[in-house]
Amino acid sequence: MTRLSRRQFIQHNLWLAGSLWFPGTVDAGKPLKETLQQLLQGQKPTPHPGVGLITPTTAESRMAVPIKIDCQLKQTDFMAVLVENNPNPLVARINLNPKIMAPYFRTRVRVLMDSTIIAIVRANGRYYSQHSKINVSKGCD
Amino acid sequence: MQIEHRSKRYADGSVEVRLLMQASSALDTQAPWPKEYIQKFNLVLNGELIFEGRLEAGMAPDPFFVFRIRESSPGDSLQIAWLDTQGKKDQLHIRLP
Repeated sequence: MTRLSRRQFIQHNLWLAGSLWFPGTVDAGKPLKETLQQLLQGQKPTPHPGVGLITPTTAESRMAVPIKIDCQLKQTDFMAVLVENNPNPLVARINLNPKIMAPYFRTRVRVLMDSTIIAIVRANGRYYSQHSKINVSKGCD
Repeated sequence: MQIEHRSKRYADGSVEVRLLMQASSALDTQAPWPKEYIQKFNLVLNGELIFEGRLEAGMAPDPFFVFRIRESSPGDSLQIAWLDTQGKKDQLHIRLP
């Protein structure tokens, strides 16, 4: 029978206490759901490969992460960008004139924690989405 | 606030416009999560509203935008207007290439 040393016992307890404590402090899923409901007014976006969302897998700086939405759908008149784990997930909402503007958009966003970036577009009155994961915890800043 | 712009016309007739807005020091946009930022950003081409953006605190410290105008002719006037959370607004007129 192996006995725990005092050091191992304390380490084990600290590890247990930590694993119990941390999940409570991260409650990121709730604001995203509320924001999505406000934004889409109850409609559900369909994942669609025509909504091209291009992001880096690892960010150089979490203050300015370049993202690009290059949508292939016709009659796109609305685009939105959300970052899942930010305090306010909504970053930008854009209304476009589909006759004149191409559904193409590049910008830089803040990503405070590892997140999923969600792009939502509206084409012909229906909502389509695309998402991409991004890692910022290995960055330089 | 300062704004820098570059625009380029491609062979298919579309114009790509790049904008870099440098927020003034009155706004705390350099903070990790700012309280004051640019909240509205509109584009008007020849008197017609073509792009209406509502931005939140999650934009980068100096907002950077690239967009494409599909239908335009050389020399068209593009008006760029923005408004920040302090209520200051400003605008810029550019000519498309």
